[in-house]
Amino acid sequence: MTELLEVEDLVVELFDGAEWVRALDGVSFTVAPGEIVGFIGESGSGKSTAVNAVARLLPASARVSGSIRFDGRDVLAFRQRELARFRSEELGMVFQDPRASVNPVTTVGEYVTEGLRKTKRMPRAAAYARAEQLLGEVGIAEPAQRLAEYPHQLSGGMLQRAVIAAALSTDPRLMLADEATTALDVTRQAEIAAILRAATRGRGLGTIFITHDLELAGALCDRICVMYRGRIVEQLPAEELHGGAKHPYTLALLRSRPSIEERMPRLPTITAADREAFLTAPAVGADDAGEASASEASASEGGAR
Amino acid sequence: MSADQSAPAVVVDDVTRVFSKRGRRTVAVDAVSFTMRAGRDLGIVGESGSGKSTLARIIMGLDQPTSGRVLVHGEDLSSKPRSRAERLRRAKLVQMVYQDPYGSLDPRQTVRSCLVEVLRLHPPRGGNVAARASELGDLVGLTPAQLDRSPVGLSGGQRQRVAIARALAVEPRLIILDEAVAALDISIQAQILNLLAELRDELGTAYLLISHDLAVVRQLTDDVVVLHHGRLVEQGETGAVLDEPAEDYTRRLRDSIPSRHWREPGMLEELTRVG
Repeated sequence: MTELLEVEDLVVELFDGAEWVRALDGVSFTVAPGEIVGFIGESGSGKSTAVNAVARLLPASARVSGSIRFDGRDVLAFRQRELARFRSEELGMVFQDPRASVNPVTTVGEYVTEGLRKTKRMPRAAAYARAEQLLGEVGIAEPAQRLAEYPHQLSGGMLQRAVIAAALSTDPRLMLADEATTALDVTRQAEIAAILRAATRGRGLGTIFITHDLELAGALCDRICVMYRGRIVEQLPAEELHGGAKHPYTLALLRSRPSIEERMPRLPTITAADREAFLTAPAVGADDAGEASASEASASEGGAR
Repeated sequence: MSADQSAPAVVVDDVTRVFSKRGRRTVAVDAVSFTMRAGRDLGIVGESGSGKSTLARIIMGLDQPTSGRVLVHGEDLSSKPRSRAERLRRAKLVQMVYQDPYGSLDPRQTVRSCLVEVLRLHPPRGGNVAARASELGDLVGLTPAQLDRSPVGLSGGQRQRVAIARALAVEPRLIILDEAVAALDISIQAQILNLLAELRDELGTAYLLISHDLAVVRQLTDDVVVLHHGRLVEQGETGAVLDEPAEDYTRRLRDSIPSRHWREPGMLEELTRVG
């Protein structure tokens, strides 16, 4: 299978006001069409930085090295116009808070049709007709009425569906979802997960799904990249998360999370010594060349060390 | 041990709360009744709009029910306190810890002075405010250096420890935890959940946990109440309710939690009627 996105040995350094901080430290991964790749990790692990680097949304001062290839093209070499086209036509982005993505004083219809009108240069009426179909695709009933409403009239879950519809409107090939379900109730979260999976499969999208929720990544994604302090410490097929994970950090995260099945006398916690060990333990998965499992073989990059 | 040790910690008796805004009536809490038994931690589970936060505010005495009443350790908190002494006495019954430690702490004072301020209002036994502030820091695992910092210089987990210490400073019989571990990273959440369990065993403080996270509810509570659109749909022992929900809504809530079942063909689609 041809990869849609190939990221290799990506290093990102950010200036935090006092010193340069290595936010990404040699990150390599791939995303194939029709595949959901989950990025999990705690705050500051670099999972959002990785996605922002792909969308070229890092601050201008950031030092970036390594390579990001989208459909064979060098994303880091894009000039302004190419970059604008890449972002507006090939990327769809969904973030945690849908209310931060939409303009509260214009209708949902204006928001959902914006890409169609501006990027696809579709006439207004045609754009609205297309927007109705898109809302249908993300499971919004009475789409015509919804398009006429304002964001505050929609619940958080409904608005997030509209944001996904807008992201899909330009027929992107890569979807970046950063904590897209985090602010939602569990029943709403399951719905958004179902919509993302249907869009990924149905449209042959590549989707990067960032979450701090291991169980969610395990349930929804095809493959998982576990990030710790700027590095991918483990890559594995999502169905192997329980039982197949090997890196001590992944194992520690799995153990620390309370379970709905049983009450534990005490939750295992992560000590300072553990954290040292996480850093020195070798990465597991796509990076250790030749050891990629059969399901990873199609996804592992050619130039791995 | 006082005589009412076996009396219920909280009685919520036919509580209804109606909000009226521009002629529109919203019933946030609809004739809800339950009892939180002494010595048993209780979880209140529900999604947004379930009424769980309104109910927490009513139990805390921050809001009054439209009808019905709430007893906390036998005291009716449904009316506004009439004196400063009454307000202070009520504070000893119940304290609250919120989800967002940023929003609930004053960035202009150090953690220590924040604790001292509370201790001046609620003098500890023996009266040594400074010593007690240090003790509270120890209890929740904050170093002396961290006590002398502003909350701004602390991580999310450390700030939540401060919020817990501040609640404990009052020596309340009950602490309401309103999504108090929801915003924390997994490893920090585990530490705070362990800390809460230790403090309960050590001090006998009871918890009323408001949460949408069923795994956290299982870990911390003995009994659970499930709310949906302001109504109580199910209650019972936490383990029993989560293992064998009697109501459709509780089952849907449980099945919406991400699990390996989502990978079975059609499962997620059936659950969400999407796709």
